[in-house]
Amino acid sequence: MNDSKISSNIFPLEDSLKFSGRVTASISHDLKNVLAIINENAGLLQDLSLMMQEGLFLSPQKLNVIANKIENQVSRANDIISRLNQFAHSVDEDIREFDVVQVIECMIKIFDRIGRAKGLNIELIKQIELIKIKTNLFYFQFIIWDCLDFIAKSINKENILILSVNFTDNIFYINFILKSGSFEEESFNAFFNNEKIILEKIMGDFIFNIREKSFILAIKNSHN
Amino acid sequence: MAQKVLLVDDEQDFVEVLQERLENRGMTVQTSLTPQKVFDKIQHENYDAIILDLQMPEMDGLTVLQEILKVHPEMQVIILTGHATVDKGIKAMKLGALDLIEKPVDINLLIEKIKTAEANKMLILDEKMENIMKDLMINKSW
Repeated sequence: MNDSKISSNIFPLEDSLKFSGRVTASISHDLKNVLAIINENAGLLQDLSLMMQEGLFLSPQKLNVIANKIENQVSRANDIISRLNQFAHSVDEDIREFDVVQVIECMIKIFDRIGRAKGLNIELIKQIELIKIKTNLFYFQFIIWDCLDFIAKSINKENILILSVNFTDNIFYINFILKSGSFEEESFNAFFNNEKIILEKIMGDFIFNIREKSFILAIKNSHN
Repeated sequence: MAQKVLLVDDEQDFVEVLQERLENRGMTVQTSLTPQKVFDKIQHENYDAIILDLQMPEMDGLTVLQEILKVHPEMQVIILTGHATVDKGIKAMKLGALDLIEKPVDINLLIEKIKTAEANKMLILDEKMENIMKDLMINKSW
């Protein structure tokens, strides 16, 4: 792994914009679903109000159920917007210290709908609860997204992806393992070549595990 | 007669409340949270309209649309989506969808589309029946 300072290689602006576009598109889709549920519940209240005017008896419990549903969706929307806000602020500083597990969880949630559309369910295993590293947050998110996207495109039937995270000797590791099946080395190598500039940006590297046909993303903590 | 509708979406809360609202308006509504169940249902039931979400787990909505129309070309499918893009909309219409509505949905617009779907289906079935009758007239000596 390159031990020097964070790379000054220029990363194509177009790729960064595409990545930001994909993330915000996914978030806006999730928000639309939330709004659709709130809209239907508001509509149902209007329907019930009209029916009550015509003599229908309505139990307070029914109104409570609807209010709870709206409340749940507002809370869900708040979580989604918090993720959008976190993503938007990821470009504030070039290098910063952050909680990697929390950022990975956030990217998994944003990617979830896209992954599930391809049959990919993602599980995160934390060997250590809190792992803080110092690197470029935007590119860190970018590479996590690209890994998930590569895997979702690699599978051809329903599968579970296990992400196992660990931190030793000032290096942070994420192991990407499919529960059934494996990655082809050839397609992994093509993916790896496309990611070289981002890897340099975050002082990271990929290690392909030939025996288990899984791969590891390793990132050096630039804190020291 | 009440319109019979199949509502397909992976958002359970959305499906439940829209089902209740359509039923309050006299429609018969069945639901499916997965594309797989749709194929079982259309084998055994007849629907005036299928309201189908474009993005669901395991199978893309456009693929589901194609598979439905392969088995039941007369089926009237209304696409409902949270992320309508012009491109996807055109693709869905080319594949044979009746219409595309974006979430959050206007219930009156949806009801209008369901009624159009019912009318279209009746027309197709009438034409089918007419052709069967014509064949009978030609093949039978009377």
